[in-house]
Amino acid sequence: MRHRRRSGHRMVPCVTLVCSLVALLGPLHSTLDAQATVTLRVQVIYAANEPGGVDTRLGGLAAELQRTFRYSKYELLDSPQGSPALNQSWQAGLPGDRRLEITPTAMQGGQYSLTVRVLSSGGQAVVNTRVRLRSGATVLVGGPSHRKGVLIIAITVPQ
Amino acid sequence: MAGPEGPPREPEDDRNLVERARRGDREAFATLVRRHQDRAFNLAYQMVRNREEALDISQEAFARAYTSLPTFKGEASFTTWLHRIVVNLAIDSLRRRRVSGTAAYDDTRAVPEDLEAEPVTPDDPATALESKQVRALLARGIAQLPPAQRAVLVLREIEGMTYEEISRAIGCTLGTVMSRLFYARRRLQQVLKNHLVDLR
Amino acid sequence: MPHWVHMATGRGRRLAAYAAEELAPAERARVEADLRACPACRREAEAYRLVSGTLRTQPLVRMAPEQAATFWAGVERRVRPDTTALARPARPALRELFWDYPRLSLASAVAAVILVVGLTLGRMEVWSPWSPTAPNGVEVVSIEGGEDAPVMVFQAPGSSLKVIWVFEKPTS
Repeated sequence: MRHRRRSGHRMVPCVTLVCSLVALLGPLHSTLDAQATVTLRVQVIYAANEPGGVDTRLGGLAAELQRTFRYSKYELLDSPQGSPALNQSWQAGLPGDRRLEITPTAMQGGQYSLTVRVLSSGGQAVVNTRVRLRSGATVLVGGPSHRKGVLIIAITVPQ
Repeated sequence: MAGPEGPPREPEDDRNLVERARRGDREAFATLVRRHQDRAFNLAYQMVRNREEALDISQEAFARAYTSLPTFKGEASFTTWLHRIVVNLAIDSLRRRRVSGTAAYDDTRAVPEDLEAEPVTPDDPATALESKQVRALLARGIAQLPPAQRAVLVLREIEGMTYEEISRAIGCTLGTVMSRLFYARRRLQQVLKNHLVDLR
Repeated sequence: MPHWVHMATGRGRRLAAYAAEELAPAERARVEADLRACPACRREAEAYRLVSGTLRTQPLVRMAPEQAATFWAGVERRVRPDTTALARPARPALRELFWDYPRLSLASAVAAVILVVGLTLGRMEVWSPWSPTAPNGVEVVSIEGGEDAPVMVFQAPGSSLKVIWVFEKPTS
């Protein structure tokens, strides 16, 4: 018991030291690339099992969507773009009073770290995810219901 | 005779439940789970021969099935699809055991637990004893089969799946299914053949 | 014909299939004719029949009643990302880890300091090489769903797209 208490007391200074260093060095790290911006391209897609086919405006993404899901209709609803700075949030409206929020948190050598949130009309995060994307790669966030189907949001950092 | 609520409803078929579950209806998926949990557990147990592991595997299989619903294409039945997940998880588990080298459960030594639950005892004690011995030998033999052969044998002889269903469940050709099944059966019949003289 | 000839000509497979009642009538008749001439084949068929017959009639191995009753709850716990699965052992609290492994804890703290210093001042290249699990250029680092909205990550076979899927509660 006594040994445990002594060990516990020893740990406290170590943990404090680590936290202090992180606190001091964190802001330093984030200011290094403060002025850099990240270009984002988003496609908001309505997918459902109803007549309508595949929207030709989806281009090459259409084939990938058909390989991934089994919906009969894919319609491009919106294609917002933005160029937020690091650690600056960028938002786009989504159907159903929802919002898409993307915050680039780091970039290095053609790779981008993004925090992506889909917010409900009440402001709650329906999904909150951190992803790393290579320049030119696309990640899909899907599932929020819309009309008779779902929304699928394609997020790309163009090359 | 229909009551005030109307005629008794047919149990909803798996396809409808899957569609409802894909649209987010958890209760529909819960119904699927209750309907198929016993078979999933039995399949997992026949593969890994350990109750705790079989419970873990069968629950994990349903959890993965739930989260993979958007990708379920519907060409195979829900059961076939679920069995594929169970078998893959079981094979992974068996391979991990062999890699670790220190299996928590020794396939070849432990008493097969399913022998404790005997079916209706025949009148002839000698027949009952022979049946028990045969089952013990088979259980030991199955435990010694490589995972891929074990999977095909269990799906065919215990789950009663057709060759086509097994091929879809495991993701290999019909020829491979037939080959693996033959080798599995041959190993087991060799185990039994050596003891048939003693039993009779 | 000697038994070994039967086996060598692939009749072993037919014998196994015959015993499992998987042959068409014409094929079955041919095998029965062979069996009449080969006692060793008959013993082999008997053993195969015992294999298939025993396995096909054995009862289902069932869970204990209390396990069956709580099975769905166990599945639900695995689906919700913030819940520990039933079969996985509980992780010890951080404090217990520190007390039980003081030297290890100290070493970890020192390593954390070196990592932070290296990352920030030295700009360590921790992102390369790109993870082998993300050949399509997408890596999901962390994910959380909302209340009653579990999420999952998947990539369909044959597709290059990684998908983050949220199961929203249907609105009535």
